[in-house]
Amino acid sequence: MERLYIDAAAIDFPAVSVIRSRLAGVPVEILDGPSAVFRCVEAASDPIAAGKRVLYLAVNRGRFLRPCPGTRNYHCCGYQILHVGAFCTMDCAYCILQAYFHPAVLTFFVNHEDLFTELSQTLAERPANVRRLGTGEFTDSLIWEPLSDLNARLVSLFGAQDHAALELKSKSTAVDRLLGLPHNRKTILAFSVNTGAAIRENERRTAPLEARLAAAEKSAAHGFPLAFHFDPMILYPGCEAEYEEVARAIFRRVPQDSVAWVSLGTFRFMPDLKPIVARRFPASKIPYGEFIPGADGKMRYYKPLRTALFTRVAAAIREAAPSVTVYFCMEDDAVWREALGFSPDEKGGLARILDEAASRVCGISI
Amino acid sequence: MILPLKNIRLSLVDTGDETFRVSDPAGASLLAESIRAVGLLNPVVLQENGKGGYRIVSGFRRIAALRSLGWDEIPSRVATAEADFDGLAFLAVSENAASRPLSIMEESRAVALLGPGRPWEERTKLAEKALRLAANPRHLERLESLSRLPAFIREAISSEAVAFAMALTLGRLPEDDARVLAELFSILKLSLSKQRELLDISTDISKRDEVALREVLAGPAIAAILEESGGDRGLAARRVREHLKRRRFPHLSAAEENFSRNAAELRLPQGAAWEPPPFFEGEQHTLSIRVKSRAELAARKDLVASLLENPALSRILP
Ligand code: SF4
Repeated sequence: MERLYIDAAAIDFPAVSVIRSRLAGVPVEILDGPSAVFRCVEAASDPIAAGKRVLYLAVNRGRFLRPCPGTRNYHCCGYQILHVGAFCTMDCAYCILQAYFHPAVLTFFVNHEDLFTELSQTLAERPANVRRLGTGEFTDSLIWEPLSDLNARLVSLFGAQDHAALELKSKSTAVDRLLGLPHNRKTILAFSVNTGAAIRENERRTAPLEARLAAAEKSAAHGFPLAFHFDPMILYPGCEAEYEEVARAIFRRVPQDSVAWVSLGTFRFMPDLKPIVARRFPASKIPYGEFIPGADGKMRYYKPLRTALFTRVAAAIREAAPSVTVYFCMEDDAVWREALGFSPDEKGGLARILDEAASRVCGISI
Repeated sequence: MILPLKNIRLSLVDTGDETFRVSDPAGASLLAESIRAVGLLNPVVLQENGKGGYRIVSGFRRIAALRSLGWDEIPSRVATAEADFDGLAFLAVSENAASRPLSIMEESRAVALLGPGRPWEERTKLAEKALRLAANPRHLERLESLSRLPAFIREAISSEAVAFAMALTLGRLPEDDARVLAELFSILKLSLSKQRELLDISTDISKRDEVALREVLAGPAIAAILEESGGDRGLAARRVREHLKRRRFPHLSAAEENFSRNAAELRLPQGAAWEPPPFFEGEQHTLSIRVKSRAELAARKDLVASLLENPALSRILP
């Protein structure tokens, strides 16, 4: 970390002093609003890399809870995003956040009392559409572990109720500080997985697959429910067998009844991302696949190619772990039917399928 | 800048010294005709080169024309060897700009002459005065960079085979790749958007397959297309594009070709069309029927029934 920027409005929050003490030695600058951070990051030769080397502590003045922005044409999982911060210290070629924020700056919200007030109120109301929540949409959930106790507080809060599950999603292995907490199986530790080749070519500073699986195994041994996300799956010659092997490797390490779900999603991206990947990851071939514009405006692999990969990997998962819920992230009926043999609508919709999986594995009441 | 008027022997003028050249080399023969008819109206501007001869400041085309007409001497305004470079450059640019609309390469050379090495804000003011146009520094910087591009790109600009923006893009490519593209663009005479599409698609193939761009574009398949198109640029452009698209999107292209074959077998009547979902992504197909009258509509009343009998339909809608 090269510099810690603290918004003047954030300076008195307790989380700030914790982070300052854990980043002792990192130069600190107090600012009035984010403009100066943005200017400094934008002036760098690689603003995206620069945005990962600084940390901006700010107050979130909007809502912390937001529904996942699905689109009409594809089945959406009905997940709720808990917006704790933005961007990431790891560096994946396909990371949509590179093009999503202008500019992208590693940001952490420190008004945790506001977050917990909003979250507690919402959980107390027990709305039917807030059964699965997660922090891994605009950032990686576990990169904040060395800096903040937020995850620990969240795990304890969810452990004290019985109708919603928290999903902490990561490509890191930073689970150790969470293992002894009273999670009551209401926190799912989720790991994004990929093939060795895809990780080497496209994921800088993430943990190797083997290390992620070891962290998952350790988490399961401490009673945590798990999830695995094959996302983004990348098509390259021979990838099918490698993804099948990843599926088998997972279930050699963890018992299937500890796994809430496994999601499959192929690489999809806003067109703006392509020149960024070409510039920042010249060795990566991911932008040059056979992509077509999807109904949500994102580029995605030509459908029969996605479906063929899904079919093989879903079959491998079912063979290794027949009881585990497998789902597709943002796919339509035709893909579901062909790769899994049913449409989510036949089972009450994707959100319902996942709520039931959370009920089974995490014990939430639905 | 006031310069004395003298008659200078043409043999003393060093036409190889292009320090102050703004004008494109072409155009001297037309000018020769006009000088033959009405004589030389304006004296050229020369500068002593310190070696007993002269370099041209303004009048490259006039001097070429006079040489072709066999003149020995030329009325000239002559600057000393010590004369201020910036003043002469300004004079060269403003004389050219006043005499005719400049081509893009002439503008580029003009900008390169005005205040080289000074900040772009300052150079922009000079350019606005000398070229009598409103300009912005970023545009002028890009314009100037054209004059430093390899000769084959500058020629492609002059012959209007590539536009300003594409020339800059070619200038950033390895020279051998840029040369192949410039040649192809010169043959196909594509619009800028089509050039961009062709470049994007071939760049993707080259990166995906780890081959040089020139190998994507100068392979035997493209050579055969150019040969077989027999000089029909539109046909050649379409077929080159189709060829590259098939390489870039092999599965999608095969599906499109398959669909076209099956759709042809539907033998839809005039005014009816079958559209698959865009890129075969969604599930909705569209059958459209255009009619101008009730009678035309009545004539189509059995269309759906006959389509349902057609075996090609089950390949389109399984
Ligand atoms: S781990 Fe996730 S958030 Fe971080 S760079 Fe990779 S894709 Fe982006």
